[in-house]
Amino acid sequence: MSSSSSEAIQLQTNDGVIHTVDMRFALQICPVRNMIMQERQKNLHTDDVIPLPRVDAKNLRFIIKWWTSVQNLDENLLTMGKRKLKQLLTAEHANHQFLLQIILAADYLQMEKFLLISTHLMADALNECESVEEIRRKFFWNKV
Amino acid sequence: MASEPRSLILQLDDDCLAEIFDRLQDLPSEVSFARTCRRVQYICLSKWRTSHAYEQLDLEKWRVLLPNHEDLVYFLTQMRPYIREMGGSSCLCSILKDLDEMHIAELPMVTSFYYDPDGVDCYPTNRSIRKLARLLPGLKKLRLTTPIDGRYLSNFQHLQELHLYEDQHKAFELQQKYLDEVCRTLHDLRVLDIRTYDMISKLQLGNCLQSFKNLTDLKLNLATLKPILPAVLELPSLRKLVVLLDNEWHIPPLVSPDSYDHKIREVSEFYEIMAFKAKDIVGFAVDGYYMPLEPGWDEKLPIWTHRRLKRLAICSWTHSADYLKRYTCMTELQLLCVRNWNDLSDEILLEFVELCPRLEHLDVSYCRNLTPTFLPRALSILKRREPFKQKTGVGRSPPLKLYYDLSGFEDFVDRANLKSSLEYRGYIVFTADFPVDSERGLSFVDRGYQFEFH
Repeated sequence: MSSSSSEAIQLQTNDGVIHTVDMRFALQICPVRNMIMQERQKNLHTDDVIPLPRVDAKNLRFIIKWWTSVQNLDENLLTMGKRKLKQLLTAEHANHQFLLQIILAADYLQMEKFLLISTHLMADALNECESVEEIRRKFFWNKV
Repeated sequence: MASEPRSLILQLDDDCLAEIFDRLQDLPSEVSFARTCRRVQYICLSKWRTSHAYEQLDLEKWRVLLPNHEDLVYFLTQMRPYIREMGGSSCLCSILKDLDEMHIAELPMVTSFYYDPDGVDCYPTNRSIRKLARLLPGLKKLRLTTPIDGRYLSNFQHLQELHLYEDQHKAFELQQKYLDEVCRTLHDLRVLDIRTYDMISKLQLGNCLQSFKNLTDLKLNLATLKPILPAVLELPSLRKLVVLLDNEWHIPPLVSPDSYDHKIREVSEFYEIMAFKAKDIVGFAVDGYYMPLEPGWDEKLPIWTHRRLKRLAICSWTHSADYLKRYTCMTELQLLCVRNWNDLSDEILLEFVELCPRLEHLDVSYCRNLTPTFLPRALSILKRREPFKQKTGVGRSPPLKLYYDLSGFEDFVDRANLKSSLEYRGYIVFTADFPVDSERGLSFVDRGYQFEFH
């Protein structure tokens, strides 16, 4: 663990952008973690770029930004993480559609904690809706 | 389904959608979410139908949960095939009417309906009973204590339990012909409670006995039992017999009312049952206030040779408590209920704790003579018997449940907060309630007696 703390790894999003990220972040991503573990078991050490074909650069950058801001939180991750996520979304002027996109990304990346927090935020948004029509309008029929 | 436009939220997998569902604040929000499309509806429904909160349909409560009528109709329609129990306290006629208007014609999975009306001004009509039978075709347990004549009760074809008794105020009885019809038609009947509190019961079971092959629990008035007692004791599945003493007495015409002693007459069946079923009796309960039992009444009971008693309840006893000691030879005893005794001492109870190692329920409600010193003494007996009970991993026997409402140590238990005391943990559990299966109030069994058979 300690040896990997300063390591970096490269991830490529579906728009071709290559992101150099902290290994600790990469290990949060379940498919990436599995790949790295397998390599280590076989004593392989490659510098290959790992492709993430279902995530774009904007979403990944956002998730990295969120993770960086909460990575040292041990307790209260749910409350604080949600507050942080809200702040970042506001700062980006992001709409619900963007929130849904990052939930999808988190689901694909199997980042459990982020998924928990982002779906929580999504539920908050649904709670605020007054009617079925409002939910449909806001979350269902908008095309990407 | 195929024509549904591809939307972002539906690209989430079911687990994510379920996660979002779990975070919704209340049922109206969940319903709104469910109504958006069929896939979400399916996810929400699978959450609702596995939730204990919605196992029982109580229209009044559901109305509070879903104030919007349209939401309520939607929710009921979705849940209709899964609801397992139904209860109600408002007027049955209006409950049925409301369901009718919501086009809920059948609740196929409901097996139990407990009706507990708040007011007495709305009694279900026979038409309501007939509608109820159509609404709940799979019903197995029915509790209905309002005055009904019993017409259409036989329409509940799968009925196993029929409870028609309400303590303190129940005066209206079924019509005999409908009771006969119930017995003739409902072959699965296991529990039948036809007690009447306020008068002498006129119901007869003479024509019914041959249908009671599966009957395990029979609760009735003494007047109903008298003419058929031998046949009742021969019922093949009978496990529990509860007898309510009638409020008035039949006095044979040839006897002068002045010289007639009803007390002796009222207990003769009790002794007859004792004698006939002695070797099968595993429990009995008597209400000492109404049962004219003289001191020493139990000295020569035929159960002493068998010693099979597991449950014993003698309540409202005003004579000396010394005679209770003889029951400590019943070492299989699991429940001892001595509610409302005038003269019960700590010592006698401690003997039971010492000598009956299987004792699990000790009901001393309303026994004012008991003192707080009973508690540490009982605890030390239990600790001596099982010193390592509080350690994890040690095979544990259940703790002794102490029902202490209005007993001599009630204030002490509450003041010292013994309910959450670490010292007593695992050994004694304090509860202000009454044991399951017992009547509430001063006696374990209302104004009469009860037998349990092996």
